[in-house]
Amino acid sequence: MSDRKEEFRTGVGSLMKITLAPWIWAFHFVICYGATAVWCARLTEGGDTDTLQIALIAVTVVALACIAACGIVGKRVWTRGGFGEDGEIPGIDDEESRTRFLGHATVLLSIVSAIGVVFVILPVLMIGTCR
Amino acid sequence: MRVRSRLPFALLPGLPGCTGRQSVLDTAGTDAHTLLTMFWVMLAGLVVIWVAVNGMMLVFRHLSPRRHDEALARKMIVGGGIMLPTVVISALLAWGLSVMPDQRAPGDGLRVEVIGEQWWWRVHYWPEGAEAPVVSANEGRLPGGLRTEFDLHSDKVIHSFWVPALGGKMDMFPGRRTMMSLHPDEAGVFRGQCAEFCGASHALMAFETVTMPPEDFAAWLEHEAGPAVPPEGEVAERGAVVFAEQGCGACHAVRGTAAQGQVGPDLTHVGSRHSLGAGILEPTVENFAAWIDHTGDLKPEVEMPAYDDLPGDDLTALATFLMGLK
Ligand code: HEC
Ligand SMILES: [Cu+2]
Repeated sequence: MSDRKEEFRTGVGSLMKITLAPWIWAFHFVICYGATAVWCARLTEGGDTDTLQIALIAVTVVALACIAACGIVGKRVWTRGGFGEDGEIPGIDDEESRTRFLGHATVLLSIVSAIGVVFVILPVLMIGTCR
Repeated sequence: MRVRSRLPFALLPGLPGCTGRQSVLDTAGTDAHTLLTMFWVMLAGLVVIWVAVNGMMLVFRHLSPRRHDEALARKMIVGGGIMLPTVVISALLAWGLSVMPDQRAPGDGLRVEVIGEQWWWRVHYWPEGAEAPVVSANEGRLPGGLRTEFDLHSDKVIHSFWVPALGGKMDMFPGRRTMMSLHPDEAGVFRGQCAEFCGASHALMAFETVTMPPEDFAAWLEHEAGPAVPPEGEVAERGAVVFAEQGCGACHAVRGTAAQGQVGPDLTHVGSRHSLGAGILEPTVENFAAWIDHTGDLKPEVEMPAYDDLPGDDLTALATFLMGLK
């Protein structure tokens, strides 16, 4: 009984962790769109975006760094104890395999989030005008 | 089987539909050329990917259906299923974004304000430095070889402004301004069409776009800015009287006369337009008469009353008068 509880708690912790990278992506998205809207509607004359671009590049670098950190943590969980070196298939339905799976999912979600962040910043960089 | 193998030939007569004055495949402007290039590149890429995917399916399922190396399979999934799409989509996105500013590049002086109405277009020309616009309707005229800015908005509902042969489309919103610019490089008459469903007569909300050499355009604009020419001949003069008697001037303006209404299209030079009723009819005396006589049959829910109790003579006179407004 107490064993099960322990397992459950680990699960919820990692479950929260795997959503971290997508959350960063979501924040980055909101910041980019919000900042661009306010900048273009209120803060600039003639549609130039230089300052906005520099600020959002900084935000993007921070976001990508945080996502990379999530990915590295996930990778550690995934490969803890030397995964797959002797071609061993991890167990099914035990705590270790579950934790590994969550680590694996964290890595994949970090990759998707990183791509998402790049796709969000691309228009700001390439269009370069409010028009 | 027989029917099936003949199907592609049955589609052949449709091919000429790809050319003509309202086709993205038959371009006459810089922006449209760019979009067409993108279309062909994407179509070619699509064909390659389709052949590759189906080819692999054929090879692995039918030509060599044995057990394959797992490492190779993994590489193909990660490489072909994850990395390749990411790279291809990123490249397409970057390319698409890089041409977007060009489609909204500042113009060379002329600005055309177009306001979407149900179901026609107010067109105001603002030459460089103008304080008041040259008011027209239901037709766009553009100088060739120059970039013209379009300042778009709408009266009540969302419309979309699109001349496929010249460039991309842009939505028009009530209470908000959007802009685009076009750079025609060929003289001609091209069809534009409202491209956002806007009510009963959405499909009947079109317009002609005439691209012309800059000198010709300047001369045309000067004439368009002037008042209407006086009616010539007895029938046309009678038409002008009917126009006044029937109160058409409450909705329509004919500059230089008492008619100053702003509800409907400006008719000052309606006889010189390439179409009647926002792109739906040839401008002939018969069609002008038909339009006035049973407007609602030609355009469902149109916001102009039908004058179906006018005697035939008066109709003809009105139509002749309007045709004469060159
Ligand atoms: C209640 C206002 C109203 C009155 C009155 C009215 N019209 Fe119209 N008229 C319109 C509107 C609105 C349109 C645009 C309809 C559309 O295309 O959707 C129009 C369109 C037209 C057009 C086509 C213009 C073009 O650019 O192709 C002609 C011609 C015309 N009216 C002639 C007349 C004549 C002649 C009379 C009088 C016998 C008249 N109208 C009375 C509102 C009015
Ligand atoms: Cu429409």
